Amino acid sequence: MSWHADTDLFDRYARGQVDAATAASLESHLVACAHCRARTSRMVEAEPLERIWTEVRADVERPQLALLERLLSAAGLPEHTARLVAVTPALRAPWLLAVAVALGFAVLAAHGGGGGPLAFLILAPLVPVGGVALAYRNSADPAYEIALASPGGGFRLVMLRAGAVALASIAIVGVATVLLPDVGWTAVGWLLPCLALSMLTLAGSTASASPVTVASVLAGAWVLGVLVAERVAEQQYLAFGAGAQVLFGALAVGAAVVLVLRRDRFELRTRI
Amino acid sequence: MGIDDERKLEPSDEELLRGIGDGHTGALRALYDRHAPWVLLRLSRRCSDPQLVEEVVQDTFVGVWKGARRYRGQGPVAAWVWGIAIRRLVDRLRGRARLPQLLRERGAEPSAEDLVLLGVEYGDLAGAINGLSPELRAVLQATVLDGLSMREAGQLLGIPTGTVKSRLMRARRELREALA
Amino acid sequence: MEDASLRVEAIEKRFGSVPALNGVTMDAGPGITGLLGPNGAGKTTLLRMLATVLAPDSGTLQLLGLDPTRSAERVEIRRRLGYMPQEPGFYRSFTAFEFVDYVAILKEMTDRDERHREVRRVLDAVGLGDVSTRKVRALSGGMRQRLALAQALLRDPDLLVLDEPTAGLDPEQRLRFREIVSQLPHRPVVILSTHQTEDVTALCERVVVLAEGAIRFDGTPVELARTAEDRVWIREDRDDRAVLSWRMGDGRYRHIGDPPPGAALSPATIDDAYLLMVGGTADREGVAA
Repeated sequence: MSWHADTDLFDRYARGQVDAATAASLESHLVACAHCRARTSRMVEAEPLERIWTEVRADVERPQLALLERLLSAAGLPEHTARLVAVTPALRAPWLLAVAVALGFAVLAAHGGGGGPLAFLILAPLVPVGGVALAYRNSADPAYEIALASPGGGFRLVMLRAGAVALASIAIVGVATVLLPDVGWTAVGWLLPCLALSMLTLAGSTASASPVTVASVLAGAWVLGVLVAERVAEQQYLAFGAGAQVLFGALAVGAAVVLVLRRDRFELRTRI
Repeated sequence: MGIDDERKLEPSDEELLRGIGDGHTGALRALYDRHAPWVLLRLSRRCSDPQLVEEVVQDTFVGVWKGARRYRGQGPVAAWVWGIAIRRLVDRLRGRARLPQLLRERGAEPSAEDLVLLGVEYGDLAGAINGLSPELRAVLQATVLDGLSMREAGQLLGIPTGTVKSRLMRARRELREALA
Repeated sequence: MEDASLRVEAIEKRFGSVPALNGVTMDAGPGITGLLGPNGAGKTTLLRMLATVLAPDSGTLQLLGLDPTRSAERVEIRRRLGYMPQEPGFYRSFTAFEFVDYVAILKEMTDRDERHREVRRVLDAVGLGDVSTRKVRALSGGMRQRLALAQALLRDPDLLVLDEPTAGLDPEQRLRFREIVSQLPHRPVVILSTHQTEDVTALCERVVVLAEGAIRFDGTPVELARTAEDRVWIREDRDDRAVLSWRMGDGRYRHIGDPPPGAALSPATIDDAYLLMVGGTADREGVAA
């Protein structure tokens, strides 16, 4: 670099007081010369540069919103709540995929096999149960100790996540229901058992520390109960009949009450 | 002697870009400190709206952050940064119904000293350029100096691509005539 | 004037048949208190209680004048608490910024701009400002530790509970950590656990020695050192009468215990006092030569 314009010329350039040709020449020079660039820097006011930098930094650091968060925000959920929900492990692709596959098989079975929609009806309530258990078991949330020690963690967080997963599960199952062959109202006979089992999972984990254990026990009892009822009773789908629905409704409410009464167990542990 | 020695202790622009590619916001700050001022000045000569110029500078360095990995050593970093900046200006101006934003040449005629200082045999060329009408100069600046395509230049100046092309041809013809 | 202290009284805790804490009583005020003790002493258990995460079997806790066993007061404590657990877990696909932002949401910072400003502040405070956009899995161990500290500093807590914050850090990183903690804006109650006596010497105004679930000492570092006064001597070779002895850098041996008559006494350090107190259960790695 053999030529550096003198300061006066740059001064005038900075003030817009040079002609086009000179400006063009200076600008070409600046692209190639770090020294003159440094000199020009001193001629620009610090304040606007600082202000612009603050915006650049904020832009660059801003967390990327996942698709789910954007959807939730669009649905009216406040941005910070959407973030908490979106971090829920059970709302990740692998789990949702596994659920879709399982339901797919159940739907196929309903169309083809002689058992009708039984497989589907047994499977449907287990979807939210599994999801809820996954959503808040300790190992699922690596930062659970920190969450527990904060005002927004604890019971509220668990319910937020469990609620989101339950809703998502019910939505998926609901969509799958449309694909079932025409079986009348039995197609939604899974809904109340769904709610009952989810509530029981949550309530049960106030007694035991492991939601996965509780969920497994409940799932086993459910499957066994339905199969036994089918074998023993004369009425088909007894487990989904009117009487059973009332029972499940009562169970759901009862479990909810227990859950609320024992919610402190989510706030403070007796063992970790 | 002295200035070049000092420079060696600091990271080069290329090294800063690599740091930016690795997600180092400190490197972005350093690059910003080096290049934001002159980009701001150069943009101000092409757009008279200071608010808009600031927004474009902001867009530019966010663009630098996002695109740092794409720099493959094709020319000086400063030129690469300017390429981003001018195109961000085009983006901002595109679709805005307005009179050509670039202007502000309240400049004096070049003094004899200036012409000498500019070194070279610029004497005639500078005069010839300055003798062009503002519209012709604008297309020349946008295409030759700022490296925009004819379509981009049209978006920047708010004129159809065909007009850019014809003005460019006229500018070249007039320059040739002036220098003949 | 709000109560800015913590008080722990007769705390007991057992896990199954194993007693973790055995009648622990202590209190602490504004300033830095070190909890010194070997592994398995019950430090983490105690700190978890101070962080309102674990409930004792019996005994009372009073944190910042509030009772953590009552839910309304517990929430209030948590609003003014910062906790750095021993093994903080991270969502590995988060960036450093996103992780601290997540915790900030849990700390009820609902206004996004204000929250982001606070996130930036704590990241700058621990020196991670320049790598805030890097994913956690791309951060080194020392950086992750600083990240865990950063989230604890959100909202300038009145009570800061740090579990082994200097574990695994090299000397330079430990120095930086000490700078950060000693330069906090207002004087919170800081409880940090460690098994490195240099942390105590460099940082703590008070030190509590915990071993096998019980408190062995509670006072200033100087007082701790004094408990070993006239109980440290040096000899060219090993003296079997010592409780503990080890080789020093110059080849001689340092002994703690009951010195024989005529022994060459050496001024007692905190190290000596600590080792004398916890005897064979001490973690020798933490002791400076």
